[in-house]
Amino acid sequence: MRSSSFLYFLTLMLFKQKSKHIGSIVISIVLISLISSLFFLSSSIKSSLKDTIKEQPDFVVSKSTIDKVMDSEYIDKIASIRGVESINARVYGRYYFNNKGKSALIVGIDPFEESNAKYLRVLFNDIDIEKFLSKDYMIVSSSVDNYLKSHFFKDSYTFKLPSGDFKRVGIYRVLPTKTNLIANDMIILPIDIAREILGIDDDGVTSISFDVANDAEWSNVKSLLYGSFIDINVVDKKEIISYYDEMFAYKQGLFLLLYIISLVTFMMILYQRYSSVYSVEKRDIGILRALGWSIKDILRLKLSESFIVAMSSFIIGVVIAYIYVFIFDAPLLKYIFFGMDNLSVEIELKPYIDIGMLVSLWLIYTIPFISAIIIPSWRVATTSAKEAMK
Amino acid sequence: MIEISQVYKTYNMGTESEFEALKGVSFTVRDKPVILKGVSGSGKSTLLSLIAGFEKPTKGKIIVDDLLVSKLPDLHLSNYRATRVGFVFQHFNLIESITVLDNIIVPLIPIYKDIEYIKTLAYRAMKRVGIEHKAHQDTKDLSGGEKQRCAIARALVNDASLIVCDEPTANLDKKNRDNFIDIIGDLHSEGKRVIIATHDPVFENLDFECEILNIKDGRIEE
Amino acid sequence: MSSILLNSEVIIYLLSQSLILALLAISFIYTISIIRKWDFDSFDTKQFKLEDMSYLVSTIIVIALVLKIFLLFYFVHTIDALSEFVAGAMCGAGVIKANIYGNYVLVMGIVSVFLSLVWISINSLDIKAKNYPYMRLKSYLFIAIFLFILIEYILSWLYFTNINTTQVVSCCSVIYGKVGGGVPFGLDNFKLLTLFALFFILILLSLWLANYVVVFISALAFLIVSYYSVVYFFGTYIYELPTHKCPFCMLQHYYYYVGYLVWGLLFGGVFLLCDSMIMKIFFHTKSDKSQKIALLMIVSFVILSIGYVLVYYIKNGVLL
Repeated sequence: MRSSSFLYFLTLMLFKQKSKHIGSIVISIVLISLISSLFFLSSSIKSSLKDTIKEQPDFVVSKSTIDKVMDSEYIDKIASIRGVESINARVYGRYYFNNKGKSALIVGIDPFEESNAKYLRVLFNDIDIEKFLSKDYMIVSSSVDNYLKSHFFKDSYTFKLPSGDFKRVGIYRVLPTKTNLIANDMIILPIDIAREILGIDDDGVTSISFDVANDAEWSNVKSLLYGSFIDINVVDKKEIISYYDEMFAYKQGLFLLLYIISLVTFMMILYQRYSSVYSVEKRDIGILRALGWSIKDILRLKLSESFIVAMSSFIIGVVIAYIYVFIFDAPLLKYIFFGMDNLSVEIELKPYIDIGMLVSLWLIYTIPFISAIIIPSWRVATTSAKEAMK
Repeated sequence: MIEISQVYKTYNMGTESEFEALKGVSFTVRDKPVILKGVSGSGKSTLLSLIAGFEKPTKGKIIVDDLLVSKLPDLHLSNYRATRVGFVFQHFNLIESITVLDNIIVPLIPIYKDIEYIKTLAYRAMKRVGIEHKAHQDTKDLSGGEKQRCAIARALVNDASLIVCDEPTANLDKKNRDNFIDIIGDLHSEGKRVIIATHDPVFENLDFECEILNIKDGRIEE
Repeated sequence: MSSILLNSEVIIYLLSQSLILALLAISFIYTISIIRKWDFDSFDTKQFKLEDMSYLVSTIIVIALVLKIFLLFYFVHTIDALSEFVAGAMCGAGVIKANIYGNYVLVMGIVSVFLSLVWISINSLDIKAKNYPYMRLKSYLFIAIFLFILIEYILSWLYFTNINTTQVVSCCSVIYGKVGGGVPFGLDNFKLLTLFALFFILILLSLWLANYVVVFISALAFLIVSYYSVVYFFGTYIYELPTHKCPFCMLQHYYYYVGYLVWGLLFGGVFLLCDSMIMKIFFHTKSDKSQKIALLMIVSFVILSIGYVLVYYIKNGVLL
């Protein structure tokens, strides 16, 4: 291994031929940062989502008919199943603001219910539940808050009830941004007020959630419930997690395929670039050959050059992607996963990268790169020594 | 000893532009420097490139110190060029974008690992031709004479036993030409074999004895 | 099926294999030319071009080999990643068994890496000689390797397109545990470990005595015995659970990806050693370099495996 002298010459040639490589480096960096950003974004959202979902109850029961309301019969039945704990009934519904179809998700909870109270305290250290219930108050997500403020509702909002009356509800707190992933357009209210706004009877609930400690019992519980009621829908946490897993994998795969198209173009550009042996380079390589460099030596030189170009582009591209996604929170790109119809998305992206992802990124770039430059490099390496005589 | 026996070289064989550059050349190089005289197109450059191992003949044998150069695979032929041949090109053929020092170390990189050792060898060669003060200057800024000295240093750096020169004095003024001839004389007295292809008449009246071969139309004239 | 094909890792794997196959196909075409027209004694320009072409062929094969080694590891990583989407699979073991092609793809991948390694050794010998003595041998060998890789490629497509995400597969505890039958050939752990030690010592001994054929055979035997030893014994110390027997779970991040190291050292070491022995037996080479590296890898593997057992014993005072 002629390492020291070879490296010296390699670095010498690389720096002297900067302009030759600058084009491929720039395009590489753009391509790599794009696909890396996508990967980083996707996995970060996925892991944040999974973390949030873990805190959710194991099961959620809702009604599958148009009339979404369940009465206490349902709650009693669920409570009677062995292994079921922490039953929590809620009222959900959509409230449409006046214009442009913007809506918010109304979540009616019983704040004294143990798990709800716990969750509220996790969100707001200093929450005073008594005070929350003393008057008509609600807790809103930051996007709802922004929306209301932009329509001149500063500390409260007046809901239009189905009965035709109006109800003014004050804003007690705004949800922290980290919940924006799944609570993007949410309004949390005490269950009675929610019932009023949504026009539901006193006893009615639209969702019943509960936990079942023993994993193995989950399918039993499900069949029991379906056996007891024909008009319900039972969703368990595992289903949600696999649903999101699949959706993310699907979206990611789709974009990867699109990326590959641009990759093919890139490969062709590379092939062309490194094939067009300018007369000066051809002469220089001919000189090397004439002075005793074998085909093997020149191949080593050319392939090492390309490898260094590829590696530097890769590292720079990945770093740029990291900064873009995790420091600037991926402006524009994140809408691929969230869609533009929700109220504006403000989330903090948590850095989540694993080695497998980096290897995948490395492969998707390096293998096409190498494939594109092998033949051009070989053509250059087999330049005859006689070229030097011309 | 260098033995050239019945060497033919044909270009573009089998096509319309088929051209036979060498038509059965034979001679032996022993101790005396060989001067190949002939006009351009006579085949002397082709002969040089065959001896130096740049290409292989279509027919015939070239044996350099018991090495059948005409039949070697690339790895060995390249090694032959790197270790046993020092070539001086007509137009110097330096890599313009790098310094004098870097040009001179090029032939040594496939042979030696240690860059510091290579640099000492390069300095030794540069001193010999009087160009070490220009070591870190970019080649494109050199004068004609300096470039030639750089080219010679490069040909000497590997301490090759065979020095081949193609029209070495064609682009030189009188002073540099005389310098060159002095160097050739020194090399000869060190025991190196020298082959020079030229049509410069100054080579007919040298201080030391040479063998002069006339080449015309791809054949050696008796 | 389509959801598997849209999985990023699968896309990347298949794309990479396709590119490598395309390059190897180019080598294949040139190799055919070489077989038909190679005549070292000819001075024809065509012959010189063939020599140039042979450099392209060998360059592509070297690069393809390095990439295929990466892809072998990546394949294992991919099937591990797929375990999230295949019902019932907790690690790669279940995914590999999702259809009949899985095992073949893995085995053929491993074999093609080994064959390529041998080809490269022969090639470096060939270009150092003065008249390319092994050109024909190399070329025919490459034809065989290429066909092998082509079949592997087709099988990998068949494998990925036939993974049924809804059909439940067995998890490793079923495949390798008591239900699956335990250690095969009627051996128990004690006998297995005895064989393990025996073959290891045999390798060292026959190397010292320079009996290369015995080294070769004992290395292969060692490979097979080690595979089972890792799955049924050493692995349980990595998982710290006597019932967890699985070659794939140790590749996951919970175990710090040590599986890649274990299998890499074992297969890499044995392959290098066998390759070195082939060169010594059939081509009479003298070089000891790759032999030393191979030995180093095998010894590291043994130390690593035993290390887990020792560490467990030191930490807990008992064995599993």
